[in-house]
Amino acid sequence: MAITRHTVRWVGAVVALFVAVWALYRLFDRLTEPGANLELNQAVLPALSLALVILALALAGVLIRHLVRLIVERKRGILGARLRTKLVFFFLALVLLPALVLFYGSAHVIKESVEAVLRTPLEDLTQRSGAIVQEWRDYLQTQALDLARSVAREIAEEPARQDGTDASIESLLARWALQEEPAHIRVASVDRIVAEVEAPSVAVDAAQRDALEALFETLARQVAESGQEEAHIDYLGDGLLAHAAVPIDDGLLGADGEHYTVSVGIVVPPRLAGNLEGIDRAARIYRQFRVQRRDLVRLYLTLTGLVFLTTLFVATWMGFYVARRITRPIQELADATREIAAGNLDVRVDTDIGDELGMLVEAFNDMAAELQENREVITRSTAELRRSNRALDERRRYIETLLANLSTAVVSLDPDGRVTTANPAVAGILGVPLHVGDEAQRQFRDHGLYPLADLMLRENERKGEGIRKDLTLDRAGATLSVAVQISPLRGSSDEHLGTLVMVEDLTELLRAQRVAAWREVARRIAHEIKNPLTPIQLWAQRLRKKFAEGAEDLDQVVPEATASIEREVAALKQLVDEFSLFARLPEIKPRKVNLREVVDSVLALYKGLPGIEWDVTVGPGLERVRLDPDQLRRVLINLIDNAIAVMNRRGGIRIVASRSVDERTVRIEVSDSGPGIDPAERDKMFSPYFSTKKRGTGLGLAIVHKVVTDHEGTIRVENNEPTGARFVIELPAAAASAPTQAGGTSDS
Amino acid sequence: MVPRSMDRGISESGGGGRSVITRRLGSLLLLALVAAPDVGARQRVEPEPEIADLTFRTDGEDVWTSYRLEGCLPEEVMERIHSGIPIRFRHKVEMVEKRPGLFAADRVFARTLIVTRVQYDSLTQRYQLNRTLEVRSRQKRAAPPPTSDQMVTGSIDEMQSWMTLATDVPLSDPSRPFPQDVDLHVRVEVSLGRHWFLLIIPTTESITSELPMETGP
Repeated sequence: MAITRHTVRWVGAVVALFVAVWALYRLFDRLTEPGANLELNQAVLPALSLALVILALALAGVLIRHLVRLIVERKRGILGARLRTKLVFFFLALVLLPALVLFYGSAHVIKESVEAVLRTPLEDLTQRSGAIVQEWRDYLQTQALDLARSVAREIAEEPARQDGTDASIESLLARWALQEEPAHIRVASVDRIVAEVEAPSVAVDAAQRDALEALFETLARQVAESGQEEAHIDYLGDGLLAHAAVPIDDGLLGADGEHYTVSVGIVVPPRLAGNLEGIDRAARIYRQFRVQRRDLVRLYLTLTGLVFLTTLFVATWMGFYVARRITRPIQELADATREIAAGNLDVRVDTDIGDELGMLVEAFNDMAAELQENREVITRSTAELRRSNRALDERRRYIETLLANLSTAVVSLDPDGRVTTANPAVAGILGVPLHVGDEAQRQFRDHGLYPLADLMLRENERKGEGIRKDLTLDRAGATLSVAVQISPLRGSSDEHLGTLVMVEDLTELLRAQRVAAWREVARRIAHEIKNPLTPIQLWAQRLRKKFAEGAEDLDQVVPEATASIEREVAALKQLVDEFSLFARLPEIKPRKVNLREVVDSVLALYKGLPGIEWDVTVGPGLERVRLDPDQLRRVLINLIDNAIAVMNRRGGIRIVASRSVDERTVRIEVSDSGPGIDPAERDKMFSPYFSTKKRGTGLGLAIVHKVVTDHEGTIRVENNEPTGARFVIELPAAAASAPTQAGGTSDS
Repeated sequence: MVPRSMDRGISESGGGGRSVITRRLGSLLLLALVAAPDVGARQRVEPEPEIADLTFRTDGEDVWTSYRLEGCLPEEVMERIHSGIPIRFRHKVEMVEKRPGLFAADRVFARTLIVTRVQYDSLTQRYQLNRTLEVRSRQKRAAPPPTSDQMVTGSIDEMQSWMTLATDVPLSDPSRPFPQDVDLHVRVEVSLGRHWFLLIIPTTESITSELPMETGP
């Protein structure tokens, strides 16, 4: 497991704590050891006190700051504030009471311990030892002073004084030096040493001798100035020197008139000096302890207080640290969650902790990364979708423009029959202002367009593949001929999306076609009538001429003429009868018939006709077909007659009747092996009085077309393979014989 | 010791739940404060230290100041001295122009610092006395070098005189002329030692005295 920054921090904190504890221990140790540097303590105490005050203030500041912050955070409802508050106060409470008790107990023990020292025999011991030192000091000083006095007195009494020679004084001093303590005796004025003797037992080194000289000189000058004897104890290097100086009486003035002084120095034996110094040092330490005991107690209490406050500070800090360590990732997670909720998926939470919170943070970061990746995918998809939408929009506008400029009325309906789109031609052709959401059938009925509404209703109920039908509509009193195409709209999964209704205005076209047709009819009728009229006229003129001439062959001519005239009149009559028949073509009366029987009854009419090869196939499932058998016979006869005529009575005729795969349509094909049909004439083939035969009336295929359309079927002509033409009739298997309503079906 | 009445007071305090705990904690804290070790010394009645006989004399642009300290060597201090603890007094002698206003600092024209020190040797029964005198100047180079005196004496009177008497302390800045038309004062501030505020906050115990300089040089 990798060492995290967090672990390093913890190790550092623990090491720092140990160092601090060790330093405090050392400080205690130094401050309390025997013979501790009191001046150092004096300097340390204020520093410690200041540290204590600063620490207390810092602790108070930290507590107040965090307390205020916690209150603010709690009021703001910031995540983790409550937990932080609880943890901080938990740690503080955990430490405060024991630390307080410890502090109180320590303070009491320290104070009592320090004061107890004064109640021990140490105080008495110190005083008595001080007295001993004092006695020794007095004794030594007295010794030195007595010797100095004796020497001074003897000098004053000795004859040597009379001549005042240094030699006599020196011998005197030598004698005293040998008699008394190991001493150093000097007789000197302010600026001159008269005589100086040192006992052999005096052992001083060079440094001590220099010190001794300085002490003698200083004391002698002092005595000379004051005229009073003096005795002191002074340090002589590492040892002690008891020295005294006594002025020689006024009567002992020398010849030079100077004042002379006798100085005596007794070097205290080293062992005695050491003991005296030791006792004095110990007594001094005790006295300093006694006068500084309050400072000492204060020092101890300060240190204890320092530890107490440090403990509190550490506890508080630990509380904050642990709380922050727990709540900070939570807070950061909450902040990051808000950022993500606001759409900033780049946000991540930094963590260097390896516990469960760290795992949670890592899981959050993974989630954020995945979200970001998904959003990038979505962004790309959205961009593509926008491009597609733009393309679709352009296409939609193109289609809308196309529809708007289309002369055909186009209405799209949803599955409920409500308008989703309607181009302007709807209002132009049908006179119905359709709007999106309108119910199309109701609108059409409200505007009297019942056939169209009925057709939509039927198609809707039938749910077929669509229908195309020519209708005649009554629009505001005017007749409107339209071709209606109703197609279902299906989705990619073949689901029903609605219906598309297209209405094409054929009124003008049909009118023009009708005019053209009637012209042709008139031309043909005139032609057909004219043809028999010419022989009738010629025979009439011939008869008048023969009769006027009284021709002998009048008897022969008259029968011949009348026969011809009768023949031509009969042809005229036939022409009129057929025209009358076409005009009076009855309505179809469909019923369930066997299609094979109908076909067989037609074929029976041509039985025995030479030169024709028949190929007749009637498929299964045609035994109960609903249609008008008489009209269908008329259709078949017309088609067969035409085929025989175009083949000049020699060739093959093929008749195939079948049912479609979905059994919705009955298909009848009549094909021949004749010359076929000129493509230019296909469109006119079903028009009345159109014929390619010299003697045809041109009504046969028109009748065929009318019968088929009356059955709601279709008829078309195709080329037959290898030669000839093929007429294909498709009739609804359950063709309704419902009579046409207002306007009825087209006669086109 | 905990006063019996307080002990009774705690036991008599009623209330339930949190209030009892809070009250007991408060009582414990109060107990700790009341029963805390008496680290503060019981002060004996001693004369308050003060600066007395503050005078000055002038000669041309030179000024000398004299004064003495009273009540600065009470029994407690003498005890400290005789225990061998060194004692220092720090004197700050200034010639200032006082400025009105609470936070306006006085303008200092001359300053002299004196430190007197005594340490008693119980074995030799001698006082080791030191005195350093430092005349401060605005220009450090112009200031004379600090002077130092020392003396060893067994006389307590000499020691007390050494520590409490300041005679003819020079008070002039050699780097600047004597100020004219200024309301001058001689101010002496003597730091006597450490004092404890609220038992734990160290402060310096000091005394101050001022004397207007009504006569110019």
